[in-house]
Amino acid sequence: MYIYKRLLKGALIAVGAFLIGACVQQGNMRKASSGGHPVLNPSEKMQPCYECHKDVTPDIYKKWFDSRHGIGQVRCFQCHGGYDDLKVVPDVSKCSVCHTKAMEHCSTKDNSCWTCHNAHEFKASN
Amino acid sequence: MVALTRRELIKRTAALTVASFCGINIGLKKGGSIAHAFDADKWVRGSCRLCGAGCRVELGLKNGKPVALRGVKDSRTNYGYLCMKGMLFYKIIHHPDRLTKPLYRKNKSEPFKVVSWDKAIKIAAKEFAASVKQYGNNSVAYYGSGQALTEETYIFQKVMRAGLQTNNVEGNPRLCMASAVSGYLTSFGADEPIGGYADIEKCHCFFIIGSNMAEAHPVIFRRVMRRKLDNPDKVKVINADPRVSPTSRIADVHIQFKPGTDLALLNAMAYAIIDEKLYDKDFIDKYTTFRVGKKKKEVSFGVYKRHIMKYSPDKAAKICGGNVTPDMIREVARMFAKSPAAMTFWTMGINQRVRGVWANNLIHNLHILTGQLCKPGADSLSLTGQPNACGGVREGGGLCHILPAHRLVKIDKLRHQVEDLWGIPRGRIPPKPGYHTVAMFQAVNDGKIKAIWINCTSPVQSLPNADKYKKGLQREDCFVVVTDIFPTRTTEVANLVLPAAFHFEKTGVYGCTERRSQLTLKAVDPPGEARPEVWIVREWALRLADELNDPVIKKAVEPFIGKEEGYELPKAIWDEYTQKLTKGRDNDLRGATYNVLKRLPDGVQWPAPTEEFALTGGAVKKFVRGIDPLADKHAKNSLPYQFYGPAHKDKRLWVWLRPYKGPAEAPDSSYPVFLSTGRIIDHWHTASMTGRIPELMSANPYAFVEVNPDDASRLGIKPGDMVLVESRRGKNVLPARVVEGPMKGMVFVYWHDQHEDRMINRVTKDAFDPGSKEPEFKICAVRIKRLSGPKPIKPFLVNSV
Amino acid sequence: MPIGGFVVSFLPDKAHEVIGSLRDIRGCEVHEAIEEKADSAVVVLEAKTSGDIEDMVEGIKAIDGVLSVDLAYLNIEDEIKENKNELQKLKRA
Repeated sequence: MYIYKRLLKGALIAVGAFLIGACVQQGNMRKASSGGHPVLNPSEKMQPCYECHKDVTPDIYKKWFDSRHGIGQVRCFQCHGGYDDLKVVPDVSKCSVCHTKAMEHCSTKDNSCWTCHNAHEFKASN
Repeated sequence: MVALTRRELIKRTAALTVASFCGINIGLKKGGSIAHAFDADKWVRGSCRLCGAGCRVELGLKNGKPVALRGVKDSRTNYGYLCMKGMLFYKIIHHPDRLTKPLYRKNKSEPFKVVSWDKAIKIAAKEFAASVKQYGNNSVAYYGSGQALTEETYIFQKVMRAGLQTNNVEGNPRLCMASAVSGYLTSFGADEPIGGYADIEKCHCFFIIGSNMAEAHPVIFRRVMRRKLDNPDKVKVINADPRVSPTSRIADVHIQFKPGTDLALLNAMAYAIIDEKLYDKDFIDKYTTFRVGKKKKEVSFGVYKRHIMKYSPDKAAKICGGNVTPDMIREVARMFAKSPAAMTFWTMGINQRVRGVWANNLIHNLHILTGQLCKPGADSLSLTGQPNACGGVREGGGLCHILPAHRLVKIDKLRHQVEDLWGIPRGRIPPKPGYHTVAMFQAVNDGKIKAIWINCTSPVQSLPNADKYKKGLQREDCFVVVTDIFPTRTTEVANLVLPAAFHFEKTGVYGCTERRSQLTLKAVDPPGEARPEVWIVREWALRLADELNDPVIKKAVEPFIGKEEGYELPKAIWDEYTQKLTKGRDNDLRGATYNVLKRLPDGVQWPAPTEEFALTGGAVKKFVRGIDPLADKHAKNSLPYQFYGPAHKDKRLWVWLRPYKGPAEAPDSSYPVFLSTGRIIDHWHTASMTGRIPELMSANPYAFVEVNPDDASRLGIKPGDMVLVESRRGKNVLPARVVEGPMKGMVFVYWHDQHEDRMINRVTKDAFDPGSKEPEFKICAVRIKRLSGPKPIKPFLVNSV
Repeated sequence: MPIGGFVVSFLPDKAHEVIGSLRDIRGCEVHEAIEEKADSAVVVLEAKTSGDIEDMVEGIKAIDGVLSVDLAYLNIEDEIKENKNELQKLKRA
């Protein structure tokens, strides 16, 4: 049982590591910037995040694109920061710029918004 | 110490990141403070500095330094929501590129030298006085902005009119909403919308034409999107635009018509409404007349019906091209007319047309014919581009033909009212309107204007056919004063650059799209020697009075002498404007005192004649008895709606007979492609502000040209290729984005880029609407050609003077 | 100085010993899972170079009861800066 759990975790970690681009490829660490994103050249930096993430994280891209954030033009860098200040898990303070009202009524104050509202699609899961 | 904190932050992020990926609860967050607590010790309330939505924000300060912005949750415009620009503009306040000292040069070829304020104001006064003495009062001009505070526009135009006796008072709102002003006046008899944002949540059919509100007004779009997504079947969205934009994503129907054929489309929708008897006969009988021509001749409903028969859906579909079919026109007309409540939104796609006023009239026609007005959820709502185009310029008298509080210059009675209220001799304000924007810069070209004051805007980049007018501003015999916060394309042609205070560095009122006036309080001191414009104008006027030996100039600013510039001075100006000038007018703002505005989270929708009424938030709907106090006051009969607007003596709504008219410049064999321009979500106008916010600049570092995939494959253009966009007036070289945005035969370019290769207004056309004098930025003919493969492009900003 | 975030998986029976050994390592911050009978923990490693971190990882793998050490977060911004400075110094020299 615990082997499965471990494998599952391994998979999750693999996905996670890929997400942030800090891949350990056969023991070699790929150079990464703050936040663990693969190093980009200046012209790559000028692309919107989703240009690449459409391909590298298609599920996340689709969830976001179809969400209210996606339709309403709330884009990756608004929560995650840009290349130079990337946060894989955003600060909740980023949510509070707009959602203070909701956060005041939130019963799970010590948790992050995405505990109940699934990240990227932000539909109330409960 | 800082390094340690940063390292701790990284370590914490590392731990949390790992934990969140693996679902391990490591308890780091437990017991901590709520993460939404910003690191600020004081919050100051105001409006967003950027678009016309009127979002309310709070500027967070820590040890007196701006550190954050957040939305005001109780505000009836944005309910706490902000876009990226609204979240980040605090970074402009202490930006190192800020202009901090007055700069002067005698000749435009010389470098600037720092001068004292005393000297700068003396120079400005001497130059304007010399011009008036030698060339007459109409040789001087003021060109202002829909981003200036109402107090600023008001005092500038007062000094120009009462002091220098000229109506050469214009502003960039001429370029963005002059057609909407004329449209409201000619259709409803009064400027500015009847309803407001509150209708969005009650609306059942949104008709969005000529507006990419998802990018240009994202926070208002959020409300529309929410209404649609919460009620996907009940609420319909029709989007009409030659370009598929992010706004189109919520649309049930996207009408893609050829640029410049909107008048045919709108008339054909009216045809379907008449033909299928979808009109509201009762509403028409009670409230409407039909009008035609320059003489505004009244005609019967029958004459209107015969006129509209020329625009059958079959015929219109042929004119409109694109994906438009006769069935589609009938279908959207039905959706609109049968809806329990319909709202139309439009912006520059309608206003920036050579027949923008007619296009506005034809939208209003649809609402009048179907009675989609005055009831909850129904409105014909022109979205404003700039934060204070309505409040400052439309209401404050910031255009060459209008005086404060919706008074026309040419009407003697109204002009004399203003002269009396200002306590200056009658006849002081000339009866003839001044130069409108395009004419004003043509007069500069022709050497007729010898001194011009440009405030808070950059015409060298924002005028259509920009090169043509830059030449005039470069003339050595035209003295140019620029008040701004950053170097721009326009400071490059200035003789005198005066550093102005930015938003939250001064106090004043912005009036947004929905007749709502909102106060922004001073939170921080301006950097260096930068000063609020109200102080600059007052000091300049006092010096002008000496130079011209004219006590009436002094009289114009007498009530403001000696007032502290951060709060007392703007308050005194606001009090004079609201208590004296708006009294008894349709935009009565007497109740919206600074004290009332400070107490409300948002602001006041006029008419608001008393403080007691203003404290309720004001009038959600104009003309409706029981909601608008003036509708009760001016009631002539027992009907629930009273159209008391100053422009229609019959107190009725007018349905206009307007013929089809195409664009000023249609594609031909030499220039076979339509060019249209617009804004992108991350940048504001000429990007002098948003270009300096790293997050926004890196999101959109340069302008590009959007090309339809069909055209791209025909012309061999691949994504990123460098493309020449050339018109009869000028050319740009931009990287291509190949996208199903613009329709086939059309390209689209964003206009924020300051680089001379990518300043698209060098290419656009300066033809303008004969009624509103608003130029047709949205349509001209170009040819496009692939020049090379992708090339590295560096973002560009004018960053020195 | 680079910072890495890792998940260390171990046999639940050996949890106590493994956590103890991890705490003994210099530059290693341990975040235990809240649940009882946990089979993994989050560690944050900090060292002079990313090479040193790799060595630390090898060290952790050698602890009795540890099953795997997986990277999920890495920040080597400072290292890049330092390398750049070194390069510049060399260039100047």
